[in-house]
This record gives sequence, C-alpha cells and structure tokens, in this order.
Amino acid sequence: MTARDIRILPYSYVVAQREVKLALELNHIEPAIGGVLISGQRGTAKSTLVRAFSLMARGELPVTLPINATDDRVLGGWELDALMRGEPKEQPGLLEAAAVNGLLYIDEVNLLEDHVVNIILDVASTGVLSVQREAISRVRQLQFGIVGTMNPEEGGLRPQLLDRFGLMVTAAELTAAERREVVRTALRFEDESRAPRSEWLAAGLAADRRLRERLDAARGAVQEVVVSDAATELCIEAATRLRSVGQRGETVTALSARALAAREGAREVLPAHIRTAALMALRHRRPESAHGGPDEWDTEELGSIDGLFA
Amino acid sequence: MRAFACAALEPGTGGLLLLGLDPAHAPAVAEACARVLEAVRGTPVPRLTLGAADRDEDLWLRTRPQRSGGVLSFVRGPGPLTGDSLVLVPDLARLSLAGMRAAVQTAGADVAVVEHAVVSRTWRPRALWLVCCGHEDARRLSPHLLDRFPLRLHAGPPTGPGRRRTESGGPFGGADPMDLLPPGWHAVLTGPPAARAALTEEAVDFAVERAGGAPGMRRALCLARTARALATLDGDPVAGPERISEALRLTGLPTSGLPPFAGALPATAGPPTATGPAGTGPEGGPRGGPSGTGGEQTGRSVREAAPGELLDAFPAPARPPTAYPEDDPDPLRAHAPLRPVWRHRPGPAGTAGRGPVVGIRAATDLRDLAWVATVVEAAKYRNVPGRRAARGAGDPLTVAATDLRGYARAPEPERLLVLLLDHTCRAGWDRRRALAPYLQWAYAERAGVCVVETGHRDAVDELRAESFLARGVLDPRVAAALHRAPGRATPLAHALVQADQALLRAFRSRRAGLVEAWLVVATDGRGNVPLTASVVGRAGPPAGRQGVDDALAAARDIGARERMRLRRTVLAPRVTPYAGLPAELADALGGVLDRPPGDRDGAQPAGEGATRAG
Repeated sequence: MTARDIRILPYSYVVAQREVKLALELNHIEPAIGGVLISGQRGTAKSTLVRAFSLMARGELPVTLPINATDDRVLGGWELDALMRGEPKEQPGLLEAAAVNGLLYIDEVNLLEDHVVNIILDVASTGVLSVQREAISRVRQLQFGIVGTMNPEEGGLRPQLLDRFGLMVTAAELTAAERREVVRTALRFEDESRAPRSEWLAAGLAADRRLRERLDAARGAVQEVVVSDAATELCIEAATRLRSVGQRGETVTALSARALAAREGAREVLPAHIRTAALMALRHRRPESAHGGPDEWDTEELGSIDGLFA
Repeated sequence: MRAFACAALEPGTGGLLLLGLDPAHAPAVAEACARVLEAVRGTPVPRLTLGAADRDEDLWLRTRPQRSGGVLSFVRGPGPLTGDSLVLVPDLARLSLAGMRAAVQTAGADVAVVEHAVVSRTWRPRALWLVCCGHEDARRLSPHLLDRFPLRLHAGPPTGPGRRRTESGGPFGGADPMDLLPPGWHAVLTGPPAARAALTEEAVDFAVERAGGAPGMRRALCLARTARALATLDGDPVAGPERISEALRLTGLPTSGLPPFAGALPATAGPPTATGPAGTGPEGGPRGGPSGTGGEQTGRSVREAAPGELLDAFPAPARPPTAYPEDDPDPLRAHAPLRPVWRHRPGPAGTAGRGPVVGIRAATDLRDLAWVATVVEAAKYRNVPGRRAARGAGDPLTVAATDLRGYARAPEPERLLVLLLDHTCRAGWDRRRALAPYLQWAYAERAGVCVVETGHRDAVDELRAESFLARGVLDPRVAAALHRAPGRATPLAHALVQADQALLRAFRSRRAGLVEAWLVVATDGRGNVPLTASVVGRAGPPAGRQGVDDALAAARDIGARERMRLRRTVLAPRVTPYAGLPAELADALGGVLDRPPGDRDGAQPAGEGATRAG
C-alpha cells in the first residue's frame, strides 16, 4: 500500500465547514496570511478537508509533519542508504519541502514534541533554516505557511506558535441534515472508489478544477484590489475592539479581507469583507487565548464587532 | 466474530475496542480476528502486539542485520506499524504513550505519515487495530484516543452455562471461531469483492439519530458501515433501519441514548462498593466531618500491614458500563494525556536506553545505535590506509566497531513514590518518622517522587490540592513539603484525583514503563471540600459528608486500577476523631492501613479540628 493508493474525497464534496474552507482558500489566494489553524472536536473531518484542499489547489498531498517526526526529518540530514554506498547525499527536511510546496501541514499540532515546536518556531519566525550538525553546514532562506489541525480536548498551543498562524477557525458542529449528508457522501465515496470508473467522482474532480481556476484567478488579481484608508482604519478598530494582542492581527485582517474581495471579484475591500476576515484573523489573538481560553466568540464580542459594522 | 467480519469487510470502520475482555483471552481473540481478516484479504496477515514498553523507534523503524559475502550489514526499513498487520493491544490503559499517539495517527485514518529517524513514508493504513480495555479504565482514557475505535464490543465473559464453557475452553468455548460465523458468510468473506449493500435513507436517518449528539461523525459512520456490512454478508442488496438495529445489538452495549448496559460483567468485577451503609450518613455543620464512620462498617475488612506489603487490587466499578465512556463529562480525566511529559532535566540513572534522546555517544554495544552518526563517523576514516586495505573491491564503506555510535538518552526512574500529604492532620503523631520507611524505599530504589499536598496554609487556593514531580527524595522541595503549616480546608478528594492522574501519567508516559509505584496517603481521611468545589474553585454551602464521600469515590477509582503494579498505603495517626475513616479509605483504595505509634500515642488530637474550615 503506497501513497498512490490514497483516496481522498474531492474537496467539492466535503459537506459543510464553510468557515474552514474559506480560511484555506483565502490563505491560498494570499500566502502572506501565513497559515491557518483549524480547531475542532474529534471526527470533524479536519484532516480530510486539509488534504482534499491541497489536492484540489496544488494537485498533491500537503507536506505533512506528523507528531512522530524527529528533528533529523524536520531539519534534514544525510540519506543513510546513500551514505552506506559511500555517497554523501543530503536528504532535505520537511521544512525545505514545505518551502517548495508553500505549505506545511501539521496534524495534531498541539501534540507535537516541544523541541520540534521550537525548531519550527525558529524557522517560521526568522525565515532562515540553519543546519549545523552531523557534518552538515547549510543555511537556507525559507518561506512557507503553516496549516495545523488540533483537537482542543488535548490541550492548547504555546502563544508563540499560536501567533504564527494567520487565521484560526473552528470546525463547526453539524446540523442533523448535514450529518445525514456526511454519512451519505462518505459511504458513496467508498463505493464509487471501488468502481473502475465513477462519473460521480469525475464530476467532483471537475468541480474541484473549476474552483481551482477561480482561486488561481483571484490569486493573480489580489494585488489589484484596493484597500482604502477607511478600510485600513476599520481593520485597526476591529482589532482594538476585539482586544487583539500585538500588531499582526490588523495586518492579517487586512490581507484576508483583500483576499476575500479578490475571491468575490470585488475591486475594493468592503466592510463586509473586513468583518468576515476579522473573526478569523483575531480569534486566537485575544489575551485569554494564550492561556487556553475558549475558541468561540461570545455574544459581547460579537455585539462589539457588529456595532462597528452596523 | 460477526463484528470482526464486518470490520474486515469495511476497512473504513477504524479500530475495534473490546471492553471488559480478560487480557489473557486477547491473543486467542486476536487470532480469530486475524483469520477473518486473512479470509477477506486472501493473504497472510502479520500479527503485532503493542504494550507498555513500545517506543517510537520500535514502531516506526525496523533495522535487520544481514550477512552477505562474509560481511555483516544492516537493512533498514519502515517499522511494523507501517504494514497491514492486525495490531493487538491487550490493555489500552497500559499502552505506552508512543503507542497511543501511533493509534491516534493511524487507526481508521485515510492517510498516515511517518517522518522518523531517516524513515519517510506516506501511505494508506490498512492495519486493523484490536484493542482491549477494562470498563473503568476506559473512562480515564483520552476521548480523542477512544474515538479512533468507534466499534465497541462488550467482551466480558457470559454468565451461566456460557460462562462455564468459556472457563473450560477459552473465549470461544473450545470451538473453532470460524464456525461461529453464519454459514453463508464464508462465501462472501472469501469470494471476490461483493457489491456492497445500499443503505436506505431511513437507515441513514436512523444511524445519525442513534449516534446521538456525539461529537464528530465516526460513530454514525461506524453504525452505517456495520449495517452495510451485515446486509452484504447476508446477501441482502439493501440495508434498512433494521440493519442499524442489528449493528447496535452486535456490540452488546447500548449507545448514549439508551439505558445503561445491564448484562454480564467481567468475572473480575467484585462487589462494587466499599463505602459505608446509608446509616453512616453525613453530619451537618461547619466542621463538615463525618460521624460514626469506619472501615469496620464496610463490606470488606482492612487489616493493618507493614510497609511494603502488596495486595491484589480489586475492581470496584461504581458506575454501570457504557459503550462510550468518553461521553461521560468526567472531571477526573487526565489533562492532555496524549502529550509528552515536559522535562527540564534528566532523571537519575535507571532505564538507560529508554528515555528521550539527548545526544550521541560512542556505542559500547549494539543496542540503540544511531545509524547516521555511525555512518558519518565511518566516512571520516574511509580513506585511512588500513580501512582502504580492509575494504573489498566493491565495498564503498566499511564500518568498524570504533565507528559505532549510539544514542545518549536521558535516564528515567523505574519506580515512583506518590506521596499524598494532608497537612491538616499533623497533630498527635510524628509524621516525618512515620514517612521515613517510605522515603527510604524511594531513596534506595532511586525512585522519582510525586508529592500531592492538601490543606496547607500557603496554598494558592485552599480548595485545591497542589502537586509537583521531583526526581528523587533529595529534591529540596520534598523536604519543604514535609514541614508546611496546616491550613483550614482539606480538599482530599481533589488530592486523590491528582494522585490518580499522576500515576496514570507515569505508567503511560515513561517509555520503559514503571516497574512499580507506591501511593502513600498520609491523612486521617477527613476531607471537607467536595470535589465540585475544587473543580470550580468556589466553596458552596456546608457540604456535610460530601468531601469524605468524594474522597472515597476517588479512592475507589484508584482501587479499580487492576493491572497497575501499584502499592497503596494509607498512613494515619493511631488516634483520630473518626477512627474508621482511614480504614474506609484504605478499603476503597484496595490497599493497607499503616498506623504507626506516635510520640503522643494515645493522646487526643485536641484542637486540631478547629483548624479546619467547614
């Protein structure tokens, strides 16, 4: 069983989870957003969604950093088999692979070993990968976005790592109708995957291709979208009202709002774009988030942001 | 066997969790499951058993020596978990942290990734996980972990004639397990892949309804897949709601929306309660102390014992078993049990070769070799004349014994002393002298020490217990803990919960697995803070006996840890206002009561009660 046997549900068939999908798409349109953290309870298709998105948007599975990763695989090292043959051949690490792919996917990000988190933080914050070990001396400039999935039941993230994610979204609880649709879709996907040729799957992949074209077009147009001074002020005011810690919050809000405008074909960022973006960009920048506070917005916070955009 | 057939036919189901199965029967059950799996796949299925000592290196990496052309070389490859095995876990509660994390990554996953020590692989897992766990233990496991095993089976032995057959002939009563499958199923299992039955809309609705409000979709999907498999195996092209009911019945356990299971319990399940009868009820008032309680009134007798005596634990499931214990909003569940323990310094010597890697050293044997460092070392001397001469014509590299490098690992203690200190029962005895034998044991065994403190004057929150982990008894914090001034409140229940969590964490997270642990509870048993007050951090109205009852309930949970090598001792002053309480606590813990004579043997601990709040 190899990677070729891996079958992932087409992205267009993933049921519900609109906010998670939107965050991933905005991060694709504007990579400067810096990544997405997806928090949700067990069994909410977080990993499936990320993989399906990567297949749709990039045509390949994301570079994945699992919780069993050791530092030699994260940083890179020697290819042992080549060394045994007497050939000094370096093996790039996951961070370098992520810089090529543009995305590093960390499954169960809150279960990572601390020393691996430290390595990622070093590289993500400086943009420099420096490896000086095992007779390797290498320095690389790297840029990549991080997409992480986590179940908050297993604990939170360190504030420094939390801050590296541009957006944070929560996998929504499904309605009864959506749950039924999930069961139907999952079972049908299993059946259709066994068929030699499936029109249903072909239709899903065709829908994925159309979405990819739309997103790529938005990615090409995002720099043309105007962010007025008034829109910038709104981003700052939203960050202030929602008690965002640091300055990254308003910047990411503006970037996300611009990406959203590009996705919708707008030429200018509108208040509605900022409102949607702010809720994703500022969720994890509240003071209590550093101490494992709730992921959800409370009614007072929502009232405050609604007052701004009324 | 029917469930195994369904799981084999529906690989997306994920893992199977057998609740209440005697671990001694696990290999036979796994063998039966493997035979079903082999029938479906048509190829041999490797068996893999995971336990308390498995490390990441054992799971993800496999290195085999081989000799060719008179030269010994090594072949390195992905580890056993990357294969299509049947993975048996005889006791999920005792599975190592690495094993639990591996289960979360691979059981029922669409994609698994390993990036471990030069191994890099992405694959679609086909391993079937078959895990066993006691009902009580399952309540304490991570819900995130349990969710990977949506197909639950009650696997306790039957009662009556069936029980006699089981005792005489193993879990299948001496029969060939394959014969237990309906005759028509064999053809479906061994034949070419059959067209799956189609689930009706009503069946989908019913599966979602029966899964209830559980988080996520795995439970509903499991029901639907099992129903589909049952219909397929029966040759039925359509699976209606009755198949969902059949899938529910198959598990032998109710879902959250149904009444608690009332069927057979494991044979090991003994009389459930060790608490006193209702007549030993609460005493009101601000003091909150119990009246007329004592171990003598319980169903079990507690005998005085010398330190070091190890008793067999007895299980005392206080709650009815359920298929989905993770639905129980249990405040006693360990926090973030799947996260590695944070360490800021290595522990004392003990289990070298099992702790986390902290560096590379010259190897003195062939265990735990660091391959890349070894080859790099050999490469340095590749062109030294002696090496060049020793090398054959086609050999690019020769590894000499002096090149071998191994991992330097932080050692971890093999034993743990968990010391629960109730600072409000200091009067009337010399507690330090009473504790001395236990501290000496910890020193002699180089044991780690976890100290849980309750009821001292400097507590950050008097309603909560505090704890810390020390690498040994010589840690100055341990000495400081023995000299604290008493406070007013005694959150004994919270302290016992913390001790329980520390024990669970220690047994699971230490890579070598603890050899043993010793829980010493130094208290007179007079808890006066209910567990709820400790959890929410607010004192409620006078709680009466609730603090004591909560402490006994927490103690019973520790007592139900059947398969932990855990000694339990209650250390109490010889004279206390409620003399039966320590015995009752020891009874609940399943341990022994140690009442050493004190300096003021026979004296009443006058005035001590005034130090406690109601």
